[in-house]
Amino acid sequence: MTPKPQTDIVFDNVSKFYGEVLGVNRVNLSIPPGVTSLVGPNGSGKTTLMNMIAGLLHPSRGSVVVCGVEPDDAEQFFRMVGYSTQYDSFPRGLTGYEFVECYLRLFGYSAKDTQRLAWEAIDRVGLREPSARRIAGYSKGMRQRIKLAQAIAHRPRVLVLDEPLNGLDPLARAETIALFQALAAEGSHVLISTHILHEVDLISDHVIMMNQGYVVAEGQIRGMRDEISEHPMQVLIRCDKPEYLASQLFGEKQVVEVRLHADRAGLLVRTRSAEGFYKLLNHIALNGVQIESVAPADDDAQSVYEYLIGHEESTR
Amino acid sequence: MAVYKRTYKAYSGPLTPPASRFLVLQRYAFRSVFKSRLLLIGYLLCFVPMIFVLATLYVNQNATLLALVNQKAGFFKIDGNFFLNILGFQFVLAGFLTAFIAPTLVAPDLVNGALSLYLSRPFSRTEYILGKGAVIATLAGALTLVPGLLMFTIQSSLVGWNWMLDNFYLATATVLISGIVLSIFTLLGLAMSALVRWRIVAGALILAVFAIGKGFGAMINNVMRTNNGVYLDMQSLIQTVAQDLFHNTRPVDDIPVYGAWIALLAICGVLLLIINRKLRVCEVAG
Amino acid sequence: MTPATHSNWSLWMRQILAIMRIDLRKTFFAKRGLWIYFLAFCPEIPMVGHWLFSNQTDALANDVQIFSGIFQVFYLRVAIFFGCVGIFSNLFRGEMMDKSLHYYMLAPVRREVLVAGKFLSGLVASVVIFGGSTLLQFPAMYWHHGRELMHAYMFTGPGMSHLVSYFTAAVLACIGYGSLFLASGVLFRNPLIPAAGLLMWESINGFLPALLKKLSVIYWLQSICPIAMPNPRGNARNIMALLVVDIDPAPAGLAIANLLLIAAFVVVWAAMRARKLEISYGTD
Repeated sequence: MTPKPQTDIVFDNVSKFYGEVLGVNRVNLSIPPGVTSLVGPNGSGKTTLMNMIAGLLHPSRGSVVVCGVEPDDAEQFFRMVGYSTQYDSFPRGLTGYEFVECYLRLFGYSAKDTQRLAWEAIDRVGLREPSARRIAGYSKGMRQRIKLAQAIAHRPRVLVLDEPLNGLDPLARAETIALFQALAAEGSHVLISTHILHEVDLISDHVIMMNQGYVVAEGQIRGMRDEISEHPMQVLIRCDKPEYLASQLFGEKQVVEVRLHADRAGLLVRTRSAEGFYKLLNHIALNGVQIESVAPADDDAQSVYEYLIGHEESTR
Repeated sequence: MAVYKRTYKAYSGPLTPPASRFLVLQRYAFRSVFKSRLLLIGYLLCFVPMIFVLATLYVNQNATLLALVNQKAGFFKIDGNFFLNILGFQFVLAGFLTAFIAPTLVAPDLVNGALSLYLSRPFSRTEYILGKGAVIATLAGALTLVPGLLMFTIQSSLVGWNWMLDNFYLATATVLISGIVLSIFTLLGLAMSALVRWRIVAGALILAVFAIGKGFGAMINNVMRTNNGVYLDMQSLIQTVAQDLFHNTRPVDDIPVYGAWIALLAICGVLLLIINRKLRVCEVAG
Repeated sequence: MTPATHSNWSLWMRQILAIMRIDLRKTFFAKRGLWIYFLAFCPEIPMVGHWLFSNQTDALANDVQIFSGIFQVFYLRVAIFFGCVGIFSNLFRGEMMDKSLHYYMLAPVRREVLVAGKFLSGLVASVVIFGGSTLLQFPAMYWHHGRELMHAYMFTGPGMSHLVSYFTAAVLACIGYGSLFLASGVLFRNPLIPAAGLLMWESINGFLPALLKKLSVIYWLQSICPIAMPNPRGNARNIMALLVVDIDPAPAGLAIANLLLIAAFVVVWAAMRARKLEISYGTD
């Protein structure tokens, strides 16, 4: 039996220290293919983690293996990994096309293949027209996109992107997100760090939350939310008899709080067990309450972030 | 009503007068320069030789002390040669000081885009240059001009009115030579920092300008069998001017003193041009 | 799409050529490298000036002495030295300053290949600039003696062998100093500190005991130069006199072999250290 090929990005007890300053500490992760978002406040260790995946930093302890290959094996590793860093810096004097093309040459491709791949990447980020201009004259959004083109030009299986949506206008943002999703659909890893939490829900299959060098949560948002027991789940209900529904819910043990909406057409319920609550709601609904909609109010990235990191940030 | 109309209140307190506004920059620059303990210690050490010299001036006129070693008062002569040697040494120290501090004043502002922050205030480019230049001039002046005049004052007070009148040229020479040397150091420091914008390279370049000028000048002299190469050698130019001012008769390179003055002023002009061209807020796409 | 069909050597050669393509363009055409051209070609200025504007013709033997002085005192010790600081320190540390080194590090290039590629691009650039200038300095220096005398000096006299020796010395200076400054760019955050240390060491070389003398680049370079350094004249006499110390030259073959050996050792060491290089751009 042949061993199953490793497809995950694996961090095995990884720590990184900058002198006495902690970069990341004891990180154990296994990141599967798909779009993974890395979120956390400034200085939480996101960039350090990404730099270690891309081999720009070496772990002080532990090891990082990407799809079974270690960063030390540069010739194999960097054919597989593309990284768009946070640095808004470029070699002097190059045009957009030259920038993508000249670093592709380092892969050993023939001139013909290099040109084809460079144009393909430039087209994917929608920069064909300005690619003959010098990067020094590009807008922030164009610089982000040409960096992205450079990172995807060699068709990597693992794409690491440090705040790739910064500086993009709404249209370019939507196009770039679509590109990430297309790459993920092709079976690639797309690891993105971002501060824009409402986009995390849209983009990601998985989320990794970091704070002060530690991974505080990882997985799917819904799963993470279920594990946060100290914050009761919030559910929004719109119905025809909110006062009656509220009176029924007050008597239930799993219900912590019920608040009527100002328009008297709905209520917000905080409950210890979402599953138990939904069962209860079904039961009540059978007693003549017309329920218009039921929606969880805090199982998104924003809320999970707030519960896990936001509180800690504000008390620091 | 727009939000800013309710919340925005312009500053209405007293303003630093425009004429002395550049000194604000100087005040803050001093603080940041001496944040480095190493630099502070180095700077203080630069005063040690001067303290020794001033003590020597006192001892030189103290008959009681000199009698202990069987010497008479005034056993060595305080003249232009003495001033020239002491100031020459202090100028070397001031040159090194400039190479260390000038780049820290200007290069980071240019690299990190801080110059635009200064100039977006009621603060002009000239005031910026004056403010930064004043830091170099003040610190280097404290090593050269101040001790030079102090030597003259102490010697006058010890020997008397007649010595002061007879040797008044020493005071004027000290002021003139310090003026030109400090101007060159200040402008060179600012120009090189603005030119290369890399703190480390700028420091090296400030010193290298002297070495390369000397080498290139020597090359011209040797190949073309001339003395005109000296015009590129700042150290020789300063020496020529200083020897004339201090009535020193040691042989110097055969160029006229007025030629040396013109060359030094021309060098100042070139440095000013570099500063004017390079020390500005601009973004070039290309 | 992966160039798996290439052997390792063929791939490394392609990668080295790709690195050289990027770096040579930067070195030759960067505005901030103009001072290197000035350093390299400034000896031609007085030489051509003398030819054009001076009607004073000295004996050719005197010019041979003067050329030797300029080459050994100014060109080797100042021009090539500082030029190599500019070219080779820039290859790694300059990219760090520009925050663009990571683009190389994210390519499937072994660090050893990257160091080799960068060293070769620095070497090609410095040899073209300084070697080229050395070749130009010769006619510029002697042209005013007239075609016949110059022809006789070059082809029946020792001129051609002098030219070959000076050119070899210039190339070896680029190799020797280049390897050291490449390594200092890899190892030190501020490569000017080791450069200043080396300058000091090279300057006092003449006063060192025989064994220590050999631990320098300038000793071996001077051994290759065909004529001993003359005593300086004019305003250079004070400071330059310090540099004019009789050396006990090594045979040229040994000097060449030693310099190549030193350079190879330093480049290999730099390549080994480059494996541990991390990208951590600070602010300056």
